[in-house]
Amino acid sequence: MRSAQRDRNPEPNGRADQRVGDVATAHRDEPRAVTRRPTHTYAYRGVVIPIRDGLFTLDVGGDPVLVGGFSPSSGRYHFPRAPVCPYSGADDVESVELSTYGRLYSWTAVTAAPPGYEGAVPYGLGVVELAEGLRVVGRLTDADPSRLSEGQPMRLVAEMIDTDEDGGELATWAFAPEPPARGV
Amino acid sequence: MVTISGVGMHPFGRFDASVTELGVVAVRAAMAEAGARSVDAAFCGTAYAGVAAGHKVLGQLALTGPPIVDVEAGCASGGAALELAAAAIRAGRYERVLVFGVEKMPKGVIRSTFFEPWQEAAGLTPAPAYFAMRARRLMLDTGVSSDDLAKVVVKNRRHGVDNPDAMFRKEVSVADVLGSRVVCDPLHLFMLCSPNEGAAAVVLEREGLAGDDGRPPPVTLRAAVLRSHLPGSVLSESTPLAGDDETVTPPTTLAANQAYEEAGVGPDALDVVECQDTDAARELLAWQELGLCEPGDQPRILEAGEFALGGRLPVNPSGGLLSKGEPLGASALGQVVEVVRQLRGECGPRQVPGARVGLAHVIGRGANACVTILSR
Repeated sequence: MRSAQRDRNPEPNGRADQRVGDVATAHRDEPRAVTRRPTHTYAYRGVVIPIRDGLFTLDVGGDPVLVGGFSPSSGRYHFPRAPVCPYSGADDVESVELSTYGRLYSWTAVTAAPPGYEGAVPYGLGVVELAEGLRVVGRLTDADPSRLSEGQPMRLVAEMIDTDEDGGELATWAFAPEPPARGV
Repeated sequence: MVTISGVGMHPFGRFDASVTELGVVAVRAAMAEAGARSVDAAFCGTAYAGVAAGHKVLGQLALTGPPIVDVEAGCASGGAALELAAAAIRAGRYERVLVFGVEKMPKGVIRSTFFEPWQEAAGLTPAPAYFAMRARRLMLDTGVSSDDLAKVVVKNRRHGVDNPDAMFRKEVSVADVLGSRVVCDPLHLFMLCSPNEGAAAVVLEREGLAGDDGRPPPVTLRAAVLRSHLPGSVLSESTPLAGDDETVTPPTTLAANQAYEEAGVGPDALDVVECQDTDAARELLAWQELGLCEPGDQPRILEAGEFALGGRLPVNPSGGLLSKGEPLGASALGQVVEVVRQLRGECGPRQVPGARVGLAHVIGRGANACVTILSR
């Protein structure tokens, strides 16, 4: 399951020396507030780390690929990967890379920061239906609900939401309109 | 059979009093109505009151000694406590059980230990956003409009004017609701209930345990059913990160169908309903999940006023959570108290004339749904 990008951006307890060095180069003169602001995958610099291990990998272009589970006996997909099939209880779950494209199923925008969240507001939140038929919750890169519509194509991207103690950028998965809406 | 021999409330709102003091008011009132000096057991619904919240209340009232158990089931905590108490009486374990709920909620968007810290950091936790995504799907799937959502608020706030236990007792118009700030599109501030404080209490007895001298007429608890969610729905109150099936039977319907069967009545027999209106769309979903209407019939029912006081089936005559606010542990029992008072004919200007059969419904985090059916 390890991708090329993942090897470039190793785990904290993996190649920690190289990671700290990368971060020092990328963030030497930047105030913390700047690194905390959510940014698109194509704008990030430095080392990117999934906000929780095992949720997604990063491909060579820096885009995330969600790691889900598939149960051959139930024929159903789930996310995040669970120890048994969450629908049938079957013990035959395989790790799978989920589609990186889907269609918008529902959406909103969060206007006030919820407890424990230190990023910017407003931000979009939505549910996207992937090709597998699995509907996944995620941040949306567009925080204006009036610009979004049911069934519109969406693409998985990474959003930087925090920095870890070594200055590495913690990323979560998010969905962006595909192609990007005019004026975004 | 299990009867309800006494009910009591501390109004819902914001108060300069401890959660224990709120509980004492509700429990004393319920015990006084029941004419009871002791109980065989007590179940206390609460999500935020901490360790031994029930003991602290009953310790103030010389009611300790019997088993006291705190019950947490999110927004359905009080309903879960009621189910446990009723089951214990039916099983013959106890003859009189006190069920109460207490809560003093933090202000603002509720912080829930339900979520992992990384989910909070990623912004994936705000409850109103999940309510909003569910509301949008309801609108896309059934043709419910923003005006319809506003009409739910107008209805419930009008009902709440005559409820002295409610937090908001002022009518609002559709324009007021749609003019309030957007919290999570399509939900405006007035379409969301306020987390607040309060307490409610109910005394359950084995039928015929005591005489009725000087006591209110007993109300029969026909069913109290708690169910959790089946996996599959991404928009369920269980708030998973993914799901693949929105057609799975929701926990409200699981609980309602079982309750109708146990009570031997269907939705057509109901005279009054109190349902979970955490947000305006949640009430409209409850209507269809409880079998009160077909999906898509909500706009017509709202326009005709069928589920308003004076209509064929008044829903949330107490004003609902939109008027009362939602103290998690107490809200379910607050609904039961309202239905009991409606069945006794004690509700004054908000009375549903001649009400004989009533239903109370809660749904929340877990997911947990509880449906209670009462009759006189």
